[in-house]
Amino acid sequence: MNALLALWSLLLRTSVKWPVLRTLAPFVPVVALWWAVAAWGPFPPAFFPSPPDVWAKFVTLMEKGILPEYLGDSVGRLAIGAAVGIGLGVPLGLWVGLSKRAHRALWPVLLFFQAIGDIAWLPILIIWFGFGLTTMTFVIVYTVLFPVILNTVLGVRSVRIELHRAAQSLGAPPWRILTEVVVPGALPNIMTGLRNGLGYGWRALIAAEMIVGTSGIGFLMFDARRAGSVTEIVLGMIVLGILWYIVDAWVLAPIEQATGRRWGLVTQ
Amino acid sequence: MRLLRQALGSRRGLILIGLGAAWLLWQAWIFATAPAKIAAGFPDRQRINALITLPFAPERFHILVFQRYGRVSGTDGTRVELRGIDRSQLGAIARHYWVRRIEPLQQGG
Repeated sequence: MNALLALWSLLLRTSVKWPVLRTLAPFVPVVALWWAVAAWGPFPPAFFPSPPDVWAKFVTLMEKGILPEYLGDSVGRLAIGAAVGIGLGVPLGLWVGLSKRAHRALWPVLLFFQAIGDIAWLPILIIWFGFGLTTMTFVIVYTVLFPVILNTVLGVRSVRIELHRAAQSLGAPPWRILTEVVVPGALPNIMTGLRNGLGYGWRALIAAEMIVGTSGIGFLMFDARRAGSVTEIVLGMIVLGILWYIVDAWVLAPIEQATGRRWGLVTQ
Repeated sequence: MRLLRQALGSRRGLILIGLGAAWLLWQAWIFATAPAKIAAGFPDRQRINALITLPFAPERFHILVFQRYGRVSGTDGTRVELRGIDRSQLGAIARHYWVRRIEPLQQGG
């Protein structure tokens, strides 16, 4: 017990110096428990693989080039979907947020389509576009689009009217008000929408790859059930979790914080 | 620019930049070593047949990848026969790091 306490204390002290360790520390008991249960053996290894089995599968799939290729496919699809989603969502959100007429006309339509889940589109998309990239791209764009639009509208509407008037009184033309008042003011909300949208999009992508994909991490996991390879499925889950953690905590969250710090005060 | 400065100033940013740099180096290494995998003696015509050696027995994934370049006409252990490849695609096949060697497929092979 004392040894465990000493180990825990050492871990806490080291994690102050190395924040990465603080992130990894909560996973230590989870992996230890997983390893212990697998070693204890109440389930056959084919149903409940141990961490070394999953690691061995990771090494094999890397050597064979399967994991990097599928991972690249999934990330590429998400990047394309995100780019298109932002490209469509931000201008549309600015328009709906700035124009009362557009807001009146489009807001109910936006709420209607937002309620229809991305996966609910799959049957009709398969009929229209078949099993392929177009279907998956549509699903991701659709998933990313609505959080971006709705948050952009919220951001635009939260920019105080006095700031518009101040810019106008200083002689700013409409495009400068848009680029120097509205967009910076809405940027923290846009980033929040993007972060949420990408999170939903990532999950939707995996589901779409399982159903219509011929490559990607979702496909890898779903295809593994054919061979009854639980190890591959568990590996897919771990890869998904780690990758999303890196994208969200290391890229999106800092950008969101930075935009909030830089432009967040404009909305207060 | 400010974002880049912030990224360079944080440990996570440095790790990500390091990973990106490692990936670029890896791609450069693959690009540099690919020509050495292609054996001499391919006939001087546009469409050629090749025998591709892998370090392991090919799986469905590898067959599907090879079918982007030509027709897979058979496998033998760790080797795959690929026919009707555009000559300019040999380099692209060799750039897959799991491809060990690309040789001309002998007539009647």
